[in-house]
Amino acid sequence: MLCNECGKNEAKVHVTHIVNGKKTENHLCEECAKKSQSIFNSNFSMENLFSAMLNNAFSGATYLSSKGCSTCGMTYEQFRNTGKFGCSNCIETFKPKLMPVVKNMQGYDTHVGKIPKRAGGSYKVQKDIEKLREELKQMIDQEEYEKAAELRDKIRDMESNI
Amino acid sequence: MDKEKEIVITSRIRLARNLKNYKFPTKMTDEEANSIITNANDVINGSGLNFSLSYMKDLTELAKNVLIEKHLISPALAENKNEGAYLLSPDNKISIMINEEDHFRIQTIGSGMCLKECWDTSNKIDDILEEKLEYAFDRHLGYITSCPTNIGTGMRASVMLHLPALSITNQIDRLLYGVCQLGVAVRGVYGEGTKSMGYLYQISNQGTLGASEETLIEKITQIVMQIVEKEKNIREQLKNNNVDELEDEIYRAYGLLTNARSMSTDEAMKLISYLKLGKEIGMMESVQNKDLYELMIKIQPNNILSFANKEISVKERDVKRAELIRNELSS
Repeated sequence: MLCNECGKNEAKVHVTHIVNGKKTENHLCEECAKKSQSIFNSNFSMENLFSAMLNNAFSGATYLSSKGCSTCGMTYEQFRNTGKFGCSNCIETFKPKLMPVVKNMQGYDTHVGKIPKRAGGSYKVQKDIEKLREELKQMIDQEEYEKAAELRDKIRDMESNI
Repeated sequence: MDKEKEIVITSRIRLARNLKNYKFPTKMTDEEANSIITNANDVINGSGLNFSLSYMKDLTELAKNVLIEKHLISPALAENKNEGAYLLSPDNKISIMINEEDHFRIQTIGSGMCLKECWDTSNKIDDILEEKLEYAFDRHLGYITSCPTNIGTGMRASVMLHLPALSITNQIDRLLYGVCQLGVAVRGVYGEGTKSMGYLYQISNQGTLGASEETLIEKITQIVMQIVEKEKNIREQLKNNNVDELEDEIYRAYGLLTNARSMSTDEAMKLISYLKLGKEIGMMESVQNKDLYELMIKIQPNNILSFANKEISVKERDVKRAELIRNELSS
């Protein structure tokens, strides 16, 4: 038989894909088989991984029929199918089953990056103070006492403002 | 010319943000969508920045596709059924997509390896918006994006690389596969799936949660520098061991580009890629002052259509493309 891809050469490589229980067969010549193994043809991506994990985690009739997000109306089924939040409250609604998926996919479950000034509020100030304390320790270790004193004053200032 | 700048074409930092008190794009109403666009425009232009606002509904299909080919907006924004818009800085380096997958997607692009600078800029724009508009943010999960694949920092740091030597010596797959093991995503820049037209690749971080923005940037930077070294080494090898073969390929490419009367995007991308390689290893004197990456964008299908300024068939586009290339290379 001829190759499915190019239709020119004889098909020598027979590939069977089983995705979500569905089986498909592809018959390729050696050239096209090599190309299909290229990294760009790989179906592995964060999005696909997330989708698969989400489907697994969000299963079960009783669970799926329970009330979704009260703010935007996003149901468990909708969330499972789209993988997207409908509003900022969806997180609280879906958190229990979602957290293990996020941790698995992202590799971590806690944010350590930028904190917004307003939305972060006093939490941000806390984190900023922590950072400054680290710096202060370093300055003392490096015997940069002037800089250390500056930092110490800055920290005192910020603490008094909380 | 800085060798690194030739291999690293552009760097990009994209931040995804949502507002707390509006439904996200999957569920939002047109009213909410328009309100967000107005608010963003007011805040950005009210702070002295002179960004231009464009509504997706006011653009033709062609205009949208040209913007996509220039990497200024994403296909998702163009296809969105929501009221979408974008704000663009005068120098075209900073864009804010509004109501794409998230309320805001702040993007800064720079030439060469400059992730840190792009982050500084995106960061500033982010601060300007957040000062007036309330963001959806969670202490533990960070910035709340529509899709959990972006949650946390909401940051995608990407670098576009031109890797002709690695590609033509068939070492690219193995290298990129190895790179993927490090938690980094790779994809071809132009073309669908299997293709990486013009030997252009985009490297970006996969995870967005659990590391600081600086750490993610450092990681991508280190990986890119290693890939650049590899590309440089292979170019040296080619010059030393296969110079005749390589020279032939490069000059043939030049010959076709300066003489052909019709050319497909595929072919043009490959040939320009060879020409660019030739220029960078010191072979092609005549194209030393030409921006060949810019040319790669100009010859994309919708850019050609826009250049022709009327409806033309694929065949006529191929002819126009060849004409544009001949003109660019001879001027």
